[in-house]
Amino acid sequence: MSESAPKTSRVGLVLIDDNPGFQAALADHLSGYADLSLLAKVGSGGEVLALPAALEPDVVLLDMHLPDRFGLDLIAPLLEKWPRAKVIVLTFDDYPRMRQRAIAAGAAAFVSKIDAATELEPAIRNALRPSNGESPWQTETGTSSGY
Amino acid sequence: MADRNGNIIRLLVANERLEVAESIGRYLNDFPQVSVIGTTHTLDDTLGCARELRPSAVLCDYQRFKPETLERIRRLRQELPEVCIIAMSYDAQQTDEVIQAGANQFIPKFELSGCLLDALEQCTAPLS
Repeated sequence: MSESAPKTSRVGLVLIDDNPGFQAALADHLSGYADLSLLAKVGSGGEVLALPAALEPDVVLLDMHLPDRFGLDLIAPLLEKWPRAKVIVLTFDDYPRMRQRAIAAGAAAFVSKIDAATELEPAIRNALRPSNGESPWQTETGTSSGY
Repeated sequence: MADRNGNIIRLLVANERLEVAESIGRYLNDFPQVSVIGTTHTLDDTLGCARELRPSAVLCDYQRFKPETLERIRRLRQELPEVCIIAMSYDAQQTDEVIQAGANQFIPKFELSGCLLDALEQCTAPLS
């Protein structure tokens, strides 16, 4: 699978998290970035897989504890649905084994919810950075790794 | 950072999801001034642990549409008048409600790493 920069200057995101409070807080956080656009927020694996393929998000933010399945089990189906998307695991379950499993399953990055306010946006930009190291944005706001 | 007597802060972490409480507990245990003495999720477990372990501070999750999370703050305040209660929530609009229920501090749950240690420090600052 080849990496590619976002087709437009806006980054489209889909959030999968069953906590309405977290959904709202994340939406509010992302609203502070003009180029990050939350396309959809859903609360389960079933809901996200029912979204239209044409939505084509650049990034999928994925919680681990969903009501209908474990988040890690959703990574492969998400990448099959949206092959160009970068899946970023966003969870409180931050321990080494979980990170390893998430990356092995195909996640592009892993961000602890404890650090979401400071680490998520850099992780998004890092995940979308082309393999040649060039920035897909005219201006950058974050440089730290999402790991 | 320490409690009013200069001791390590003995912290109980309560969250509706136990794995979240445990994750927050692991994060805080990296700080030498904090000792996480328990993690709980139900109202009964939280009250039971608080009675038995007598923490110096309790970090409580609050969710607006889950009244038991507000009840937990009220009951903790009733049973442990001196404990420092820090409420954390994704809903920043409910600050007044949790303070009225008995919390000493409110921190936005989306900004935990930036706010939590400061809240513990403020909550347990030495009396002047």
